[in-house]
Amino acid sequence: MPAAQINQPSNQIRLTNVSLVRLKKGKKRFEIACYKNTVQAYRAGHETDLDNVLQIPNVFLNVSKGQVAPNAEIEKAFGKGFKRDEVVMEILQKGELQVGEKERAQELERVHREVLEIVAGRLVEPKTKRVYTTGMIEKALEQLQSQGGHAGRHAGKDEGKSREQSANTGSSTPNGDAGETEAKEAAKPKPIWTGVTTTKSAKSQALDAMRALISHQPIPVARARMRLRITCATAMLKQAVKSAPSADGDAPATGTVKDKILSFVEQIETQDVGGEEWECIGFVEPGNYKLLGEFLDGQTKGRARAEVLDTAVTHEAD
Amino acid sequence: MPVVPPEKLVQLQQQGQNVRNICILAHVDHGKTSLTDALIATNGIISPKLAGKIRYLDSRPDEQLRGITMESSAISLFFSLLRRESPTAEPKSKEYLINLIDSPGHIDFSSEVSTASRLCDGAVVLVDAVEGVCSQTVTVLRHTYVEKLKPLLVINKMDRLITELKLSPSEAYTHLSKLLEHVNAVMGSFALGERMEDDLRWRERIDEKLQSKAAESGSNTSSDRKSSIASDENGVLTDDTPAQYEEKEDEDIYFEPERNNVIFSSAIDGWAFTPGQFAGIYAKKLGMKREVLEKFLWGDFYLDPKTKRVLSSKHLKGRHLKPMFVQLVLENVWAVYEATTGGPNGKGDPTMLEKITKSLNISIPPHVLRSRDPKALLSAVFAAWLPLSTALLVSVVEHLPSPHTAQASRMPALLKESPGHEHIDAQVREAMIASNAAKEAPVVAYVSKMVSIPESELPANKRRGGALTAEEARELGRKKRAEIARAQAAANSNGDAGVESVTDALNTTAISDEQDVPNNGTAEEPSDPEHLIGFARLFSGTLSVGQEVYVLPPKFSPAQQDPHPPPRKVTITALYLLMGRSLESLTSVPAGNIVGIAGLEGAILKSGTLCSQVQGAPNLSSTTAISTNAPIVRVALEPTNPGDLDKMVRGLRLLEQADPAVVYEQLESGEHVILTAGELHLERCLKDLRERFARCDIQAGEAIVPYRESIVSAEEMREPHDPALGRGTVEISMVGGGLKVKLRVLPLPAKVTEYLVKYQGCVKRVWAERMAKEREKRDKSGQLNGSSGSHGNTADDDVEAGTHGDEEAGANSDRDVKHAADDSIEGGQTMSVDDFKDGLLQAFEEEKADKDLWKGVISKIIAFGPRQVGPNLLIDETEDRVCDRFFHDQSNDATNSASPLQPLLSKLTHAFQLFTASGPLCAEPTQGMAVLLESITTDQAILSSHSAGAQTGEILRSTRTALKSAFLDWSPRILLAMYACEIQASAEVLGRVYSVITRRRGRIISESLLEPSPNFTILALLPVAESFGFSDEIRKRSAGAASPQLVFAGFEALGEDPFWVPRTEEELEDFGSLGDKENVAKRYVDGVRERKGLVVQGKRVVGDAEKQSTLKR
Repeated sequence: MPAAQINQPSNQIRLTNVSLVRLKKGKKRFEIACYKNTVQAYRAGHETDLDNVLQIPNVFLNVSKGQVAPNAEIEKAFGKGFKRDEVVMEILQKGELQVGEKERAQELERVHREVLEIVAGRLVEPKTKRVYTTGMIEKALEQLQSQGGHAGRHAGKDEGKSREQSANTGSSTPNGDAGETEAKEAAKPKPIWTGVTTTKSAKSQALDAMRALISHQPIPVARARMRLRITCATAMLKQAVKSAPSADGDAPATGTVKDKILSFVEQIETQDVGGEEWECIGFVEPGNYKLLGEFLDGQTKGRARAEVLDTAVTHEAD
Repeated sequence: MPVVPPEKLVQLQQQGQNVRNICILAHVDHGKTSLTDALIATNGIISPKLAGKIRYLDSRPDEQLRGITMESSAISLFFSLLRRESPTAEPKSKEYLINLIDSPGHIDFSSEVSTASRLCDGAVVLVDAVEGVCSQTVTVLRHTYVEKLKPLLVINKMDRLITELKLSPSEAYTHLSKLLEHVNAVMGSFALGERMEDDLRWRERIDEKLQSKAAESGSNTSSDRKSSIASDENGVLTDDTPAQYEEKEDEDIYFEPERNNVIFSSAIDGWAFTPGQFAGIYAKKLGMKREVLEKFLWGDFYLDPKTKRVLSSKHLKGRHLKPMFVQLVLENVWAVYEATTGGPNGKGDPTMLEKITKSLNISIPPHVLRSRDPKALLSAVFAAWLPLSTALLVSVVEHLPSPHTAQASRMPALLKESPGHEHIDAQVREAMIASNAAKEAPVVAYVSKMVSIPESELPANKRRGGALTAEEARELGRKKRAEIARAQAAANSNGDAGVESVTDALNTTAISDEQDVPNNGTAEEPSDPEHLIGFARLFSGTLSVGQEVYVLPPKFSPAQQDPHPPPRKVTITALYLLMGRSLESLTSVPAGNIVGIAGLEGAILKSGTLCSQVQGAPNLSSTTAISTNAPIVRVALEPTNPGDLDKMVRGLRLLEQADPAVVYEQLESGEHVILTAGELHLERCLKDLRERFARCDIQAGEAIVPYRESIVSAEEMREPHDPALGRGTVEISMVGGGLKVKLRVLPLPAKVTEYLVKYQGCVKRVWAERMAKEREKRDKSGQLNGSSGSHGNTADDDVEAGTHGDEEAGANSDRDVKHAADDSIEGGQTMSVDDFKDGLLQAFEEEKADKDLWKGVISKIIAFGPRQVGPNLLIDETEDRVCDRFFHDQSNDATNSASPLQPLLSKLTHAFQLFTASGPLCAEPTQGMAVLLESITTDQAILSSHSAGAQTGEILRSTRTALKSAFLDWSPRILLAMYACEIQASAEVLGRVYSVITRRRGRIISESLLEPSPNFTILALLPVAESFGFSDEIRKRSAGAASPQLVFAGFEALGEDPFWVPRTEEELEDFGSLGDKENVAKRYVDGVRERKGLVVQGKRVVGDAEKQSTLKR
């Protein structure tokens, strides 16, 4: 009988359904053996049953070799009087973990839905100002993704055609706008949509998705505009725009503050002067809101302000 | 059979007496279309051999595939009546035109049946000899009874009795007589209901008369009637005069073979007979009069073999004789089956066959005799002996009325049902009752539905040669355009297509940058544009091409002097003879015919009435007069390719027009929802959309179900977050301590919430009015004086930050008010602000518990939410009333509004609006929540050190977080959208209906017997979330005997906290520490959260960690 087992496929013991959580402490690496796809749920508090998480309530130096951590090592790293269970819990809470396949898939799915929900809430059909369903947005994004972001107007003939047809059936004004913006954007590289990841926040991914949708227009979309009220002291309005102190010297000061403000506003609802205050209510592209705010802060020293009346104006049935 | 030329039919249309309009009605699969086939075969349109198999009128591919009819379709048939054997026959043959409508039998398409039956004068009701009376049979019988159609009963599939059930003739006879009794019982139950009503009326009348007679004291004129009354009162005989009166009507509605309104047939084998036919055959043999024999052929009558006399069962004296019907009729039919398909090996008996053919004096072509298929032989014998078409058509012609007679009897009742009937012009009435076909008579036609027909199938396009019409030229142009390259095509095709497409081109070139080709509807769909043709019945006058008629919408009533909108005038562009799949052009049609009318596109949605005059015109299409099932199956549609959305929307609009039972809605959430009559109907609609109307792939799915979130004060709640402050109170410190706010969240009294939900329109109007007024005032002050008032005004607006998303809201102040006012009129709520406040006050006062809390609260309301109008309140409870009120007085507001707090308050209000728009449970709107602003303190120094932009973000964020925790301090509730569900069901299926409702978490509200029918009406509330597939399930479970109707009925709270876990000892004992009972509220909440990609609390990735499959890696 041979002293050591011959390493053969049949007598190998493989770790199945095991996910390791490791913690480095006191220059030693400690491991615990958990079930797959459970650790994140435990940390988030969704899973309360420890037996459903831990394979063995013990601390290892190396799980796959079956090396249990000696008491001495644990004492050295965690201090005296540390019980094994407490060490397990600490590793479970703080250690680095292997994200399971299912965990990842589920998280991706969740973020995907969240992104869709955000996008669907902020994009509208330009003509009717109606929102799209998440399903429609999903399909449109899928289309962008499958084209790898390289689909322009010339890529898919069919798609381009159908889009133009749909655009042409409506009133002519939004088309004119769309045409212009498209022409403008043709020069710049278009934003690409490659699907969601779990590494970025849903909101920033949603913004990316919106940008991609708007530039490629697989379905006619536009951002739902914000309704803002801009107030400014009348005295400020006539002043010329000071050139920005920072590095962006590409825009030399031209026109008055009022002109500059109005350039941000897409459509003016009301505009009037009451005493020392000039007030304007209008629709602003959400992307411009921040620029407008910065401009007002920088230029008018708080004597002008912009307020959000409605974050996303969409059509609603009465 | 020779093909009948359409000219002949056109000629026959003129002779009103020789026209019959019939529809074929039955339960699903009882052989309507097969029967129709046999009739069509007589006109040489299809081969008689294929009759019963080809299903000619099922022109849709899916109809053929599934073997059921889905759309009613019409065909005009020619029939010449020749009586050879009857001694009473008129020497010359008479020619008839039969307009036949084949209707679908499936319950989903029952609206088609009801519209089809209105077009006709008579009905042929089929019953399967084996299956007997089914649910739809009852429905169609009721239709015929209500519409006062003359029915003709056909007992179909007689062959099944022989070949499948293998009944002997006498067994078959008992079976048939039972079946007939069943049918008559159904008819009797309809009559019974009416009779009971009549009886009541009659009694009342008699009572009145009796009293008046008693007053007169001394009348002897009507002694007999009095005696009948007397007997009434004695209870001896209940109703003697009405019984007589009813008897007459009774007889009319029952089916009796001796009256020749029952036909025995087998459509598949191509035979049918009436007892009368056999009476004709045997009259000579037995030496009896035909009329006498007809009377005795059906029923318990026996033929004495020796004396050749007819005996009744009394005179049998113990002899075992077969009833005459068995002996003379059924046995012969059975013999033919035996001789052809019977025998030991199913090959028939040639000697017997020979005997039969000889005795029947028919000759069978030798090639059929030699044929191996016994079926062919069978049909050959029957085709010669008892052809189906003759039996049926003779009965139709003789038994069913012509339009003249039918309209004379039907029209008065029909007109009486129509709205405003007393205002119908006498002339029109006369003409309709008389079916006046004269040119000068007023034209009245009822359009039952719009049929969509591809352009290529219109007769105009089938014609070859001759001059090019404008349409054909366009068609040609279109084809060319497809061939030539786009750029070149523009010039060429425009030349061909004439003026119209040139203008089209001009319209579109301005828009598109690359494309020069006209891009309107026609060019887009290269093959066949759909044309809508009205399926109509002309009741009076003569309609001709080019004539102008008024289209009366279904809501029209002649009682209205100035109808709004005024009826449209349309020009009839073409008239068509409906021939199943094909159409034949007509130039004019006289009264009493069924016709296809072109030129109504856009004028009629679904159904309508055409009339040559507006004043005193009858409305035949009113919704009350026609019972159509409201569509109940609700699905959201989406194109597979997102770019096809426009196509789909256009297709949906077309479909809505072309199908009477489809409703299309576009929801706020951007969903496109269609409502259909059933699952099968839905499938048909989707197919239509995909292949004809939209021409793009479409997916159907569940519509998104809305929810609401609310809070209540429950018995057992967790400890409040901060016991010192009290439940629902939070203190927030923001902007580095620069702004401290104390908020308190409270549930609103239920009455108040209810009131606010109900009168949302009013809040909206008040809001719009205020916006408008402020704007006006601002304009004024801006113009007149310089500085003073304007500060106040801007501040006012700050508080009321935001607006409802109405596009018009800001456009024009006057229009704005008007618009909002219109809204509330539509909602039936034209209340003034004061009325609204009073009502709200009352609602608050009804709350007994916290009187002090809600005292004077109305004047403290800052805003409603979400979207400024919702059922949540933001209330100012601060010491010095810093905030602006919703119901404020314009005059005295200048005092505090200029305070530096205003911008901050506007942000708080905005946060309130945002929070109420998406609540903490699953980001759905909240309702019934009050937020009390208790105190607000600021530190200007710290505030000014922070930039405005950063402040806004922080205030919004932390206020929402604070509101969330305050909200969850109470017991949260999820509110489900509910349907009010009305179900009519017979007593037998009541239990099953209840089980379906309870399984779907519905709640029964009431149940009542629906007099005089034996049906129950059940009212229930059903969550919308559980309603998917509900109607289908209930139909299946009740075998079609229950039909639900669903109407949205608001939101209802689920009495469960979604976050409930067992806490007390007792609860722990009952449910265990894990709370094993499923929390329904949590299930709904989690469903929504998952859909929206929010974190679902307590959701584990894997259920049992140990049991994960380890096969892979």
